[in-house]
Amino acid sequence: MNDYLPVLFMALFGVLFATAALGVSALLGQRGRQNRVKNTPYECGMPIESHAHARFSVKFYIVAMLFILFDVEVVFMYPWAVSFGNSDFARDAFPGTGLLLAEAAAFVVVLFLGWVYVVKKGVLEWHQEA
Amino acid sequence: MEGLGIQLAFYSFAAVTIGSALLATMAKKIVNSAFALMATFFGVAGIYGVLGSDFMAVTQIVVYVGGILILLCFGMLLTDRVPDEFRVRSPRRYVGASIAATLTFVGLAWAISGTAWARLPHITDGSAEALPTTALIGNALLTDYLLPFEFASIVLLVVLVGAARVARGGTR
Amino acid sequence: MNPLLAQLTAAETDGWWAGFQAFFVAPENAWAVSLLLVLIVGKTIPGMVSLLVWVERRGAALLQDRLGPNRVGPFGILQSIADLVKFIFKEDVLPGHVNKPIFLLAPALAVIPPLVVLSFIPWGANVAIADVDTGILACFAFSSLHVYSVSLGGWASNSKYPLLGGVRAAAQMISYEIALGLSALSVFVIAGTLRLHDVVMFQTDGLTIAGTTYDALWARILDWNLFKQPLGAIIFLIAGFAETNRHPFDMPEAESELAAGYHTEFSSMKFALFFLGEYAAMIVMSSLFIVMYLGGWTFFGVENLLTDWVAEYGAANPGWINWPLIVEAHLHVGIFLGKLAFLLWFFIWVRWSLPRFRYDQLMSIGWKRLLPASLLWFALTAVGVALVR
Repeated sequence: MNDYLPVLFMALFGVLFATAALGVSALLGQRGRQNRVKNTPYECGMPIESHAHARFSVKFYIVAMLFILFDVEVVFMYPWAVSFGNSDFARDAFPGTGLLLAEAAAFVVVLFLGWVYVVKKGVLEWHQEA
Repeated sequence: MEGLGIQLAFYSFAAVTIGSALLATMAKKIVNSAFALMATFFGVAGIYGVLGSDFMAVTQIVVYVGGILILLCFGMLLTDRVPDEFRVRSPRRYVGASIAATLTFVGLAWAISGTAWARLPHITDGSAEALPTTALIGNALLTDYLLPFEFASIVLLVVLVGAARVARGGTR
Repeated sequence: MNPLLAQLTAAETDGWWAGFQAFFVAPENAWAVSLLLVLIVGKTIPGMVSLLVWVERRGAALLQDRLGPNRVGPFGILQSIADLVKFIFKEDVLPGHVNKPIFLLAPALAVIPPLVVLSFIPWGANVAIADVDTGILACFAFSSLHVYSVSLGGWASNSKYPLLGGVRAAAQMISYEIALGLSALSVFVIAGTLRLHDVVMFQTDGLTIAGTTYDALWARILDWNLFKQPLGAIIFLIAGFAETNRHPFDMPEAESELAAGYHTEFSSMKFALFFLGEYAAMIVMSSLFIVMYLGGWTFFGVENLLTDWVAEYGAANPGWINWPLIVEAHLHVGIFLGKLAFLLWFFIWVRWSLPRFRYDQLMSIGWKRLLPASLLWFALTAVGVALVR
């Protein structure tokens, strides 16, 4: 796993860099006055109306769910692509190129049907009033 | 050096995983819980990495940190006002959760004890150098484990349809 | 083992200079070379970003027939340094209404993921911090963490515009990640590997048509994945623009609607880190595009000019640092940076030329156009590979 050790170095570097940057500005930054108005959320100078956490459309949540599903699909397809693109495996292994293609096609078509259903259901319509 | 380094890495990742998992369940604020969970997922990914399965490690990050946990964050972002503290009040929930956790533990223990671990060549012939696992996993998925592979797409389809139905129910 | 050391063997001489060289050549000290590379890349990126910010501002002025920053130094080139000084010494406002730990964590999370992804990029044949087998998937895994900084930054601000911007940004980034992943998939179908180094090599091994490999210049040019994967490359580029929140997809910080979006409440260095993260993400996306479609560090044989020298020196001086190898590394990185400069300028050019989309247009482009288009292209590629084989 020595291949991944430098990635850890880089992550550590990132953490140190961010900490140093935030620390420097916290230490050297000018001390300003505090008052009530300065401590209110920025709304372009208008008086604050209600609190920030309003309810959002459920569509955002649906988008996140759809994302996970397609994300898993894409992750499944990557090892397939490697096996399929490797001509030695495709030639010598038991399935053969055609069958390999059919296996992926079955996988992708099933999910594509799901996509068609989602679009037909109008889940991804954003312009109409929800 | 190799052996000691691996041991050290394994135990530190295991400590991160278990510690942050405990934090995730104990934390009073849901945000802290979410962040602890992120550490747990990274810890598990690290363990996969130590065990020589880099593809699993990366997939763990893609799917859990880059997917499942984002869904949780969306829940936080979109709800009216996240209660700062949440607490399970009814004891029935505790009983249900305990039963589910015990069953999961027993199932996992059964699966772990029944697995022939030394299947990959780099474990059987004792060379510590890990093989590139992506191609191995691809080949295995397309030959010996084709049925689970195709079944995964069916499961995803069912969830997709379910999500779409729930969404329309919510907006209509 | 680090590829930089692959051609070197152990040293058996003494003396300070020899010991110094032997240290870096020894395989068990590969970590030291990696650490050195990490420091170089990590230090270069902020510098590159500050240069890029200056180019962006001057470029915007050029395209809009304005002057742009021209006071600090010749052509205003020191503007970014002046900005940096100001970022450090400005008041570090921590408003009372925010969730403090998350508010401080969000800017850090904006910087770390792009830096980590840059460690997977092969800058040259022997210059990569971590050339891993999972290549592109590892890149996607860590770049997807960028969502946390924008969504949690918006959430922790407890303020309306940031929250709206954060939600929009998060939904946008995850929507285009699918198209990005699927269009990249087609490249790996033809290359048969996820390792980024091998993907670059795949684009330089000559074009093979019907069993004959052509090595002429036209074949070398057509060997770039850009020409083998035209639609995939376009989809990848569009999704890359959306993924980095750049124009014409800069919905999260649509000034006229949302003030400054998710980083409205952030000031001084915290704002600077968001800025840095955004530009670093641009560098990441451009680098990935170069590696996957534009032949990485290669330029039609120019990259091989020093190969003989490297081999001779390596054979004549075993146990010593192969200095020609390092010269060659500079050549490769130079070619890479040339391509990078072009792509980054393209990002800027597009930003100051196009208006932005509406949010519903953005979502429907992502889910209803790019996703099926990338699936279709994936299917065509797979069938094509099967037929050619």
